[in-house]
Amino acid sequence: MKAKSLYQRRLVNFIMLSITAGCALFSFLVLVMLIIALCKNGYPALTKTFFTALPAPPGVDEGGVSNALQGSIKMILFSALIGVPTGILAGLYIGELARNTRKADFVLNACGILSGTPTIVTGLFVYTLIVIPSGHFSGFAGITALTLIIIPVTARITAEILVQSSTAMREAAFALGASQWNVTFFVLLRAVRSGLASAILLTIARISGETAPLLFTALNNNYEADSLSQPTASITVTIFQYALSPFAERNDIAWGAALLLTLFILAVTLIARYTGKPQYLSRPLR
Amino acid sequence: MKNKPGLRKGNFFESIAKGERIVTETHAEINNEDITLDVKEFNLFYGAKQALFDINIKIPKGKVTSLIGPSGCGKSTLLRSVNRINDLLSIVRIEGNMYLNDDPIYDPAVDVIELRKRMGMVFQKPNPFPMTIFENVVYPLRIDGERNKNVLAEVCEKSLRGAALWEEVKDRLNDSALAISGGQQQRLCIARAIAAEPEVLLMDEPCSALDPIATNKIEDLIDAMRGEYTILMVTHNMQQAARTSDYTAFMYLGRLIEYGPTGTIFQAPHCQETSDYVTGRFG
Ligand SMILES: Nc1ncnc2c1ncn2[C@@H]1O[C@H](COP(=O)(O)OP(=O)(O)O)[C@@H](O)[C@H]1O
Ligand SMILES: [Mg+2]
Repeated sequence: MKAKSLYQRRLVNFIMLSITAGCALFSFLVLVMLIIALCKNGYPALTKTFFTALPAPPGVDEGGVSNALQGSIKMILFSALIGVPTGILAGLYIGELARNTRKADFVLNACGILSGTPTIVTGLFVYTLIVIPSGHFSGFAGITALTLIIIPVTARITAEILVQSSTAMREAAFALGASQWNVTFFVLLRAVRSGLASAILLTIARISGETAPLLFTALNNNYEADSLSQPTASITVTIFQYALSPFAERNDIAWGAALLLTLFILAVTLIARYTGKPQYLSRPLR
Repeated sequence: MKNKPGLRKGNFFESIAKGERIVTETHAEINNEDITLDVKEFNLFYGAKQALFDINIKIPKGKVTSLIGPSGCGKSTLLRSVNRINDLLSIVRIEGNMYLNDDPIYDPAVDVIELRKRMGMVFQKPNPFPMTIFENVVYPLRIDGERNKNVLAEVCEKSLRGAALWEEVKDRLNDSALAISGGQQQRLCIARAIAAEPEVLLMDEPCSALDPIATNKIEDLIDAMRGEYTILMVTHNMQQAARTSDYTAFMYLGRLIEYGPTGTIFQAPHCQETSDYVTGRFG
């Protein structure tokens, strides 16, 4: 085969570099435009009323989303409180207690399929499971849907982190005569805690942006829900409904809510990055 | 190549190739020792693949014994069978038995957790737990439920002194164990391994991840531990075996070929194969 000339190689190199750099620039520009649009349209809406007032009737100014804020916080908090521990325990089973068994493989695959399921399907499932039998939408149904999204994701991440990162410490602890219980909770969980915390924060960031599963389950509410058995407003569903509204002041609120949500997710993601710094053996061996 | 005079005819490799049983050339000096660990007719299989064949070896008390041999010959497997850490792999199956101070290691009635407390193990890569230096050292006592602060502090100091690390870390016992250097981490792992006063200390290439200076410190430490601890050490490095150990065992393809005093193994081995290996003709 004839060797390519230096000129040819340089040309190919230049073309490849230009194309990839162009694509990179494009995706960066999209992000910048998105942030500019969000800030320009959303920032003016973030007034004190926005945070403190209930929604106003259509066409009336002075409306806020205090109920949606509360609803979102409640639903995210409760689903995380139930889903994260359940997911971690399931992950411990898959990645440690039943490590390398067929049962664990089976559960891991199930979690893989579940976490790949479109969330609108999860919403529909909870709709038939809870909303139809109970006869009404409810915050409880919303929490159930979000929890069902959190569990398989958390379980899979926990199992994967455990299997990847812990062999050395696991063996060291067993070699000292530690029990399975002690190894699992005092050594392994400790060893993976920062990576795990960061993965969990990312999962929470992810469910914070979910709309489809709430649409079928918690729906919305113009007032503050007295209890979780009532339909419950959320930021995402509010964005969806207000953005489609023919009233300009509602569109503005939708922009404000979108900006708020993006800032929240951005903050959580940044915290997750910071938390997830690998610690174990990060120093060179000397 | 001609056999040197006095060398036993080298026919091990042929026998292995034919699948014949190997009888280890064990030097008579072993018979004069107190035995801490006695391995009898031990076979080990990873699934269908046999990794250890008819291993018979007696590890003397208070001495340093090295396992040498080419990579993949089963040194780590043998070491990891002693504290049954291989049990963690579900595919492992064994035949034969081992005895720690006359107590059987493989027996349905054995409590593996209690058994492992009688041994210490040091791994190739330092593997401190993500806790403070203090908590790392006293971990073996913690799992036994020891809460008395004085006892813990005493054991911590004694173990760190025993691992020649006390002077370097005594002022920062509450720092993370991950913040010290790799060589210090390995000595910390040794301190942790001796905290519960094990009857035998197993070391799997404890210096292979360390630089020459850190390696020297560990070798000096092993030298100083002689007499007080029974050490069974795997090493890839023949100079290290020659420098540090009292007895040396040469393994090849899952068999134990020759076992005797280190000086004899390196200078006047009985077997041609051992001679070829220690003089660097293969491996
Ligand atoms: N977990 C395992 N599963 C299957 N085979 C293994 C496993 N660990 C080691 N082996 C095999 O057993 C043999 C001996 O390995 P090992 O004891 O690690 O050798 P050494 O420590 O002497 O380099 C090798 O052929 C290796 O491939
Ligand atoms: Mg090895």
